[in-house]
Amino acid sequence: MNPIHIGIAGVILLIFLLFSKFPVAFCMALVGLLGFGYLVSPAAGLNIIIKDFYTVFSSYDLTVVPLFVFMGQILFYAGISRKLYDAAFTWFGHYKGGLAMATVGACASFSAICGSTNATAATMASVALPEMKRLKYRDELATGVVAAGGSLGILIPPSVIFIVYGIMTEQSIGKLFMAGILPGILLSFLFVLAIYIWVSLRPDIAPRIEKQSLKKRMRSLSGLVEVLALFLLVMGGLFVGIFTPTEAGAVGAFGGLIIPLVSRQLSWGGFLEALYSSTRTTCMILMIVAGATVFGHFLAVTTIPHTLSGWVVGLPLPPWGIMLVIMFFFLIGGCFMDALGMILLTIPIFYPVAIAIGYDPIWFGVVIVLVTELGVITPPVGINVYVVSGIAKDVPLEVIFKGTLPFVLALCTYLLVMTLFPQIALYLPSFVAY
Amino acid sequence: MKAAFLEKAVTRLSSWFNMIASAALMVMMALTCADVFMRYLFSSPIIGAYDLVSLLGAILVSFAMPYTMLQKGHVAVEILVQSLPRGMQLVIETFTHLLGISLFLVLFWQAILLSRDMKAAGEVTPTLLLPFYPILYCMAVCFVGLCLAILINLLHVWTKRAKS
Repeated sequence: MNPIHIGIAGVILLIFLLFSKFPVAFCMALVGLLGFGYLVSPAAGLNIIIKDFYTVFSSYDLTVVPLFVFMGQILFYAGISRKLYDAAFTWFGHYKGGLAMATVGACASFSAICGSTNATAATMASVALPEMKRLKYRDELATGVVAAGGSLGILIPPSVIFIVYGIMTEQSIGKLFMAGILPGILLSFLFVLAIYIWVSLRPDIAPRIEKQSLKKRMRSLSGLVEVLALFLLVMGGLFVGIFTPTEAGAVGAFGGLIIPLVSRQLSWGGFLEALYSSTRTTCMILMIVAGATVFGHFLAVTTIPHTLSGWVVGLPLPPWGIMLVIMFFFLIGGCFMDALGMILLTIPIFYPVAIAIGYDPIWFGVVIVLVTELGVITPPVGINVYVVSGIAKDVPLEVIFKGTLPFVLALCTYLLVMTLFPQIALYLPSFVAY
Repeated sequence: MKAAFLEKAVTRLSSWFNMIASAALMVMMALTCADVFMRYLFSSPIIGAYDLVSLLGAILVSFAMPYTMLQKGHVAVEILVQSLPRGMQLVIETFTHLLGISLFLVLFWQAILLSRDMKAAGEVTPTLLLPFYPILYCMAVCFVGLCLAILINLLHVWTKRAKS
């Protein structure tokens, strides 16, 4: 058997293990260990697995993860999500499907402090769903918009996926964060447009509600100024190059701690909850990264990435055709697997292909994030839909998937737009110095 | 009786460990902020902040491992196993849990070996010249904690089955 056969056997074993409910991180580490040990030598396999774990755990670059996670958690436990939603509600509630639009707005702004799709969806589900239910919005619209809006969490910075992608491919995390801003805003508008069209076609799913007074609107903004200022400080500092990503995360977490302490909105219990869920999330993410690193080393010695990218580049297809094939693969994979694991597994294979056919690495990062967003709201394993159904226990899963459909269409359209106009993603990063 | 005692001990251990992880996160944040402020306000950055933050990162993740496992914080694909008959589920889950324990016992063993090598080779951090090997000892201890946490989860799988 040549290395490529071993590699394919490894991938098959990996798929088996994945479906046996063995944690994704452990699957990758184990198969990587066995494969590398078999191909090189058992001693080399044992040596590489501990070195990879150690290197990932003590990586300075990856300390961005706990810091940004902590910032989001503190602000969540301080009740920022509620305020964001109330503000969006008083400003946009009276439009056609306005409550759903407000939910998209609140999701987008919460994404600016939170870097994961399921956390954003869970947060907004607990805040926005009861409100939409009270005002008689239909379940499919209400749950669909929360699941889809939550997916903005990884496109609008900070974003766990961008951090990990940046580290795996040696791209600037600052640039990737900047690359997410414009597409994130545009996609939010597209979601709003999808709601508008849907509600125009089926007015019964979203009853109209009263317009709020200007005074009330202005008052809803109080308490959000600080959060906006924090976002501008963190992202601005990263943009201009004052902070490294880790420093931006630390300043963000520190600021996130100061804001609720001053306004006395964070209890000791809430603080501890925020801290503990941050260590837990960090551990989960870094274990996946460590596992994927081991697996990536195994893949590298099988020569599969190299062979595959050589083969794909030689295909009688234009670059955009190859890109479509890659996107399709991600979409199918994303239907079954967790986003981060999926991306980490496939980057060693597809990243060299994308670069070889001439696509920009930053642009490719944004596209991967968009396809992942699709993956988290499509059946059968759309993690955001499961998160929402965990909170809206009375709504059947099919109804939520039905509700995400208009947003799936919006996302697909958007992927096409992004392929035609890469500048949307590349304009802002072109100003980042490093 | 013994299982209950073991569970209590492991749960307590994992929360102590997680407190260490939490403290590492707070120190990491404070240190990095202090470094930024000192650098821009007094143009005297904290020497070795980079080294310390990396080591704190390793402490954070390692000591959070048992707690994360007990809280079932790791993502896994559950869709297939959930739809199987109960007996099959029990067999598969027992197998995967034992597999996990073996994997991390191997990592424990290797962490001890690597730590010895590093001590012998005198490997230190770039600026502060702190030795690396104690961190690997910590990691080794945490891998044992992780194995115990997986064992407790396995006991849960069994007792849940026994009840139903």
